[in-house]
This record gives sequence, structure tokens and C-alpha cells, in this order.
Amino acid sequence: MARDLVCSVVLLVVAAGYYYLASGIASSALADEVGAAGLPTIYAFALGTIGLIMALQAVVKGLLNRVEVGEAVDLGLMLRRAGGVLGIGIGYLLIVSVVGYMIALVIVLAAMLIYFGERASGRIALAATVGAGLFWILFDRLLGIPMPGIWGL
Amino acid sequence: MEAVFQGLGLLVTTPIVFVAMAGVGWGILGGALPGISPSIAMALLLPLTYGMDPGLAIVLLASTYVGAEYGGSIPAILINTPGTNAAAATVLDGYEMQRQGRGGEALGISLYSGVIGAFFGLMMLILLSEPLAEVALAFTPMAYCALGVLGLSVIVSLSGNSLMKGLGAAVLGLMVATVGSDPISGVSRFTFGQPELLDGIAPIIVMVGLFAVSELLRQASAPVWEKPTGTGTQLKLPDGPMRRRLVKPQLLGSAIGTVEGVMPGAGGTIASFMSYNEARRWSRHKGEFGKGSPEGVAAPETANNTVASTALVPVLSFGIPGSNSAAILLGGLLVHGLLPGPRLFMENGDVVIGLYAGLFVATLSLMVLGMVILPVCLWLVNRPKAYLMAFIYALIFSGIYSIDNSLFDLGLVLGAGAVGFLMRLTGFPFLPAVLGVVLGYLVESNYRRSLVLSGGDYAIFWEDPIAFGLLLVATLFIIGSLGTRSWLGWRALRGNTPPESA
Repeated sequence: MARDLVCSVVLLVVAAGYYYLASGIASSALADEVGAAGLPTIYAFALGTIGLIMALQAVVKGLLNRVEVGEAVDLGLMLRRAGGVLGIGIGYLLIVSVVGYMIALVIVLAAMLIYFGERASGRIALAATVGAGLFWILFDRLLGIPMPGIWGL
Repeated sequence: MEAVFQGLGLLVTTPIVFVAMAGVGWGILGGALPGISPSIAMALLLPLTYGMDPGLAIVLLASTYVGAEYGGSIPAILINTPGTNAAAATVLDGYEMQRQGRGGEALGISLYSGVIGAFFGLMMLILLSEPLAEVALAFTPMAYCALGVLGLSVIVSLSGNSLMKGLGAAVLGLMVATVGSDPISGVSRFTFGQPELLDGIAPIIVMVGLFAVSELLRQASAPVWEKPTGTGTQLKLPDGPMRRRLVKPQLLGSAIGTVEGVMPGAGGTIASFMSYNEARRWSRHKGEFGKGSPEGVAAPETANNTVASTALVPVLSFGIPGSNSAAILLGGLLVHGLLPGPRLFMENGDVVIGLYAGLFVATLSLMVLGMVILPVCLWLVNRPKAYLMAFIYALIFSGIYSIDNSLFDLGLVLGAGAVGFLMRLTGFPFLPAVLGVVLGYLVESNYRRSLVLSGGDYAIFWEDPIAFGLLLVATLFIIGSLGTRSWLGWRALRGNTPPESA
């Protein structure tokens, strides 16, 4: 019940925030009858209604004691582990425009390998370097997509 | 018959065979890399075609399109990452089969169904171009809006155990589709002053985030890190009984792909989702869908490969490009002084016949190249888990960056991944959200165009026969799906059947 109740609150908050932003959409002389804010307003109300129904369902389930018993999980640990992978991704975004695609990719590959349990070693450095080189050849050379600042240049 | 002989003659006397095979190979590579859409794979080749014979140039571009539409299914099945928008529906059962150690079987079904779909689409292109072109012309903004609504109607049956969560996810997807410039007035919406958001958020970014990044997060957060389950699996084409089982979803996929393909703007994504939904509706094994159903792979793969051929109908007949890929093919025709339309068939019949012959070879090449490439792909995904996760992450970063050369897109994909991970934890299904993102713009822009045409009179939607028919079908789908859900839910309450089948 608690999980669904939290979800419904999140949906209501998103709906309210979206409605607030939709009501601030500038009007235009070119606007049609529906307007740029027309459908977003409907979507906001739809999401709000869904959130309310979910909240009601959660409360009714709770009152009827039909609480679903799931597998016991350590949510904090799960979020921390997932957060580590996201952190590596954010780290890539922060360094790629400074050190360039190749070096940033070597770092990401090595970090992911270590994060997923490989022991830090020369083998990892070699795999990360060869892997980054292959990606660079594929995307930058073969497909002709200019990747950010190769070698920091 | 004369045209058949002329086509065979072209196969022998020109390098069409090699050009078609090269196009398919390049297309598969492009389609298999997330972010490299079929249109990008074709655009990269366009400069190479300037000095080529016009017929060969068009074959190269069209074969690339065919290869790319197929290639999108490979990462969808193996690493939960749709390479193209149209491959999103394949993820559902394809990746589930891979997780069960049946990745080779899923790839075999996808290849076999893709080839069937591509052949069927080619036959439709050759035999029914004229009537299909009429269908394309009959589509008004009202009909496109109704088509989008029909696509959204499958949400009810894709919502899993909670209809409310499915609807909530769909509305969230529709909200994402409103980001960017307003389709009628051009006013910016929900862009927060970021110029990168003016063009909206590409569906592939949302899909890669929801499916692939969230899967990486799930794998990382698993209490005990799972070992790869597909170890030792080999490419397995369907045997006799399986081929018979796949006939029905393939027929559905071919039929839906044919109709959707000729409608400019509809594309393979709607076709694959609708085919998946219909395959489930008519299947004797409904309970297997979402848990590794072979039919769940066959239907969308047949549909999106059928679309790859039938999407050429409006391009060749009227010069109407229904997608970015078709626009590049149109560009290829124009660069070589070939004007699409009825005169193309009369004045440059050799080019058209060469194109048909080239597409025939391209379809055969799909099977041959697939048999060569897929075992390598299977070997790659059976590497130790740490290596697989690391290289998938690097592939996502490289592929998504290549869409617009934008680091902003990488931030979006990470954000979508985080949202996807939370959706997994809370039991929200992904597919309704993906449908909302893909169809939101189509529905809104055509809904509002229709009302502009009618001066705000909603009667225009039922005065247009195609729109009325599609809306009626959508209503019937929704009522039928709600009825089925209620019936199965009631039976589950009585203890006759497990609730998850609802």
C-alpha cells in the first residue's frame, strides 16, 4: 500500500507542476482554438485523476488488509548500487569535454569493470584502452561522427 | 513477365548484387548501434552515391534502409536496447528470451520473421503500388489523428497488472512528447530556456534510457549479481512446428505493416506495437506474452520489416517522404535527376525494376548476413558480465551522442534511465510510456490541424470515413481489452487462473 500511495503522490505532484508550467506557456497570434497549452492542460488533469484513483485504490487495499507481501529487499542498498552506475555516467559527462572522448571512455570502461567486480589490474587498463579505441574507430573514423575533443583537442 | 526477365538481366549484368549486400551490411551495423537511425546510416552513404549510376545509388540507399530496420532488433533482443524506434516492441519478449538463455532462438525468429516481412513488403510494393498509393493519398489530418489514437488504444492491453499504472505511464509519455516547439504556433513549451529542447526529445533517447540504462541500473542493484544466462546459446532458426506457430503473428504483422507502411508519417513503430498487440489478442498462448513468447518477437519483426518496403510506395508514387529515411531516399532520387511520380515508372522503368531486383537481393542478403553476423553478436553478449555492462554503457554514450552531437542528450538518457529504474521498482510498465512519447506529437499536431480545418467543429472526425473507422476500431479495442481484463481479473479472484495473465 505504502509504495502505491507514494507513487500516487508523486503523480499528483508531477501533474500539479506540469499544470503550473502549462499555464505559463506564452500565447501566440498564430495560435489555433486549442492553443499550445490545450492538450498539456488535459494531460495534467488526466495524470492528476490517475494519481487520485491510485491513492484511493491504495487506501482501500490498506483498509481491506490486502497488502501484497513482496520479497524482502534492501532498498537502500539497491539505490546505492544503481546510483554508482549513474555516478559513473555523470562523471563521464563532466570530464568528456575536458579530456576528450577517448580518455573519458577509457575511464568509464575501467570504472564500470571495477564496479562490476573485476579486480583493478593491467588487464583492465588494456581492455578499457582497446575498447575505447574500437569505439573511436567505429564512430569517429568509420561513421564519421565527430566525437567530443579527441585527446582533449 | 518482361519486367521479371529485365530484373534478372540487371542482376547478372550489373553489380546490383554486391551493392545491395553492401547496403544491407552497412544498414545492419547502423541499425544495431543505438542512436544511428536508419536515416543516419543512409545519410552517411549519400555523398558516396553522387558518382554512382542512379539505379545502383538508389539500390544502395534502399538496401541500407532494409538492413537498418532489421538491425534494430539485434540489440533489442541481446542487450534490451532497441537500435531503432520500431524495434521497441521486440524488446518485450526478445530480451526476456535472452534472459532465459534463449537469445539464439529469439534472434533466429527475428531473422526469419524479418525476411518473411521484407519479402511480403516487396511483393506488395511490386504488385500493389497503385492501390496502396491511393490509400496514402486518402489520409487526412483527421485520419492521422485517429491512427495515433488507435495506436494509443493498445495501452490498455500493455498495462500489465495495473491499468492505472499503465495509463499513468502513457500520460507521462504524452507529456514528454509536448516538450519543444508547439506544432501549430511554434511557441516553445517546457524547454526551460534550453535550445537543445526546442526540437523536442527524440523517442530513441527515452527508449534507450528506459530500457537499456535502467537495465544496467537493475543489474547493478541486484542483491546477487546475475550471471549471463545465455552462455552457450547458438543461433537457432525456427523448426517446423515453430514455423507453423509463427504463421499467424507473421500474417498479422505483414498485413498491419503493409497498411501502416504506405501512410506517410505512420512508420514501423505503430505497426510493430499494433502487431504485437494483435498477435497477443489472437494467440493461443496469451500467457507467454511478456515472458519470452516467440510470437511476441515474430509479429513486430515481421511488421517493421514489411514497412521498410511498403514505405517506398508514397516516395516512388508521389514523392511524399513519410519518414527521415524516405526523405533521404527521395534526396537520392532527386540528386540523380529522377523525379518520383507516375513518370518515374514510365520514363525510368529500368531504375524502378533495378530497385525491385536490388531489394530482392537485399532481402536474401538479410538471411545470409544475419547467419554470419548473429553468432558473433551472441558470442559478444556472452562475455563476462562486467565487460558486457561496461561496453553497453560505452555504446550508449557513443550512440546517443551521435544523434545530435550533444552532451545534453546524454544527460537526458541518464535521466530517463533513472526514471526507468524507479518505474521498475514501483511496477510501472515502460511500453505505454514509449507509445505516448512516439505517438504524442502525431496525435496532437493532427488533432489541432483537423480543428483548424473545421473551424473548431469536432464533427469533422466522424465525417471523415477513414478517421471514423479508425476511431471506431480503437473504441472496440479499448472496450474489448477492458472486458478481457475484467473477465480475467474476476476469474483470478475466484482462483481459477493466476492474476498475472490479466
